[in-house]
Amino acid sequence: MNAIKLSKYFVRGLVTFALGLCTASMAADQADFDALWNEANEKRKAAAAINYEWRDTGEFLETAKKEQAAGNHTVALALIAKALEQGSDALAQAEREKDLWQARVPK
Amino acid sequence: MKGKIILLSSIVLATVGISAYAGPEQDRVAFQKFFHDKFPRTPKADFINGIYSIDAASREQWLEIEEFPPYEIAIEEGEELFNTSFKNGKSYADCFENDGKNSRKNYPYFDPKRAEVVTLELAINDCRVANGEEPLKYAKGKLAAISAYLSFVSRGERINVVIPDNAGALQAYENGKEFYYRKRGQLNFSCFDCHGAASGQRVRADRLSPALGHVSHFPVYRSKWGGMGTLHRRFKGCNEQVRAKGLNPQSQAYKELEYFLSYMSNGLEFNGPGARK
Repeated sequence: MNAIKLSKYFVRGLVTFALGLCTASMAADQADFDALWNEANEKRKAAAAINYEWRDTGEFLETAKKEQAAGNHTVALALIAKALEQGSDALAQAEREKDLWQARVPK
Repeated sequence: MKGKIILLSSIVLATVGISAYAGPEQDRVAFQKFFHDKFPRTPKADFINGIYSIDAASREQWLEIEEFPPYEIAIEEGEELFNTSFKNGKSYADCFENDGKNSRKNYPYFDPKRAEVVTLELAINDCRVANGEEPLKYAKGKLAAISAYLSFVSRGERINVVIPDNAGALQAYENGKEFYYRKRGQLNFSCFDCHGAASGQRVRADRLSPALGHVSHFPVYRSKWGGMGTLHRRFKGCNEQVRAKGLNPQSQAYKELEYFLSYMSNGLEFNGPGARK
């Protein structure tokens, strides 16, 4: 009898522990997502401020939010990675073009 | 002695600076020469016809279209709107001299008081707001129709953008120039890459039009749009085709781009509205 009770407690404890782990993991996923999303959005805004935002960056970020809300964390992170890369590339492009454009002016 | 050296150095530096700096007029001459050299068989005045000035096959089709031009309805709508009184009893004719006839040639210009470039489309909305009306949307619709009408009654007038002796005007011109030549977007193209260096070449089934004369025929009826659109609508479309985020019509950057691009076509005739693929 005691053995049965003990095993019940053990199973309950195990389930509670697993749920706790799962909740903690989801919270960590959300925190990761928020941090990366904000970082990507800051780069997008920096590029936009100098008229250098790329066409699809904003859409990647919006879609990432929807995927995260639907529980598709991996897909969401992949979209943010694309947005981050585009933001960095756009800013690098703007920097590169600061002088290069002048070589294209017909003389 | 030391003073003379400084004075001499200043003169030399100023001379070098002046000869190295390409002012708007030097830019325009070089810009037009670039296209005259690139397309020597195109009569200089014919660049107002865009791609149809360099592509004989497309020109034939376009001439057929021009027999029953798709922009005609917009001209009629624009005329009606232009002559309809505002609620206060005034109309566009109170804002545009000579009932709007030949007014296209007055735009774009730099207004030193506002410290900004004023385009025809901006002036139309300024007129509305000054008379207590809501401004119209800038890319298409009623505003494009009024612009089409004003362009139609200005056909034959010459593009004659003036850059006044004003630091703000010159800065606006320089900003427009820089925007034009800077690569942007995921595909890494500048306006000039397509419509200068690569003009005449094919992108899939279409040829790229030369930039000289681009501004002369707007607004246009574009088959792709199934309707009329303003120059800034086209700017935005072009930017998005190279996967850059398009800017809002009548944004500062697009107004300055129009200012620069119009100056480059100085001397050519206005022949808008036009019809394009």
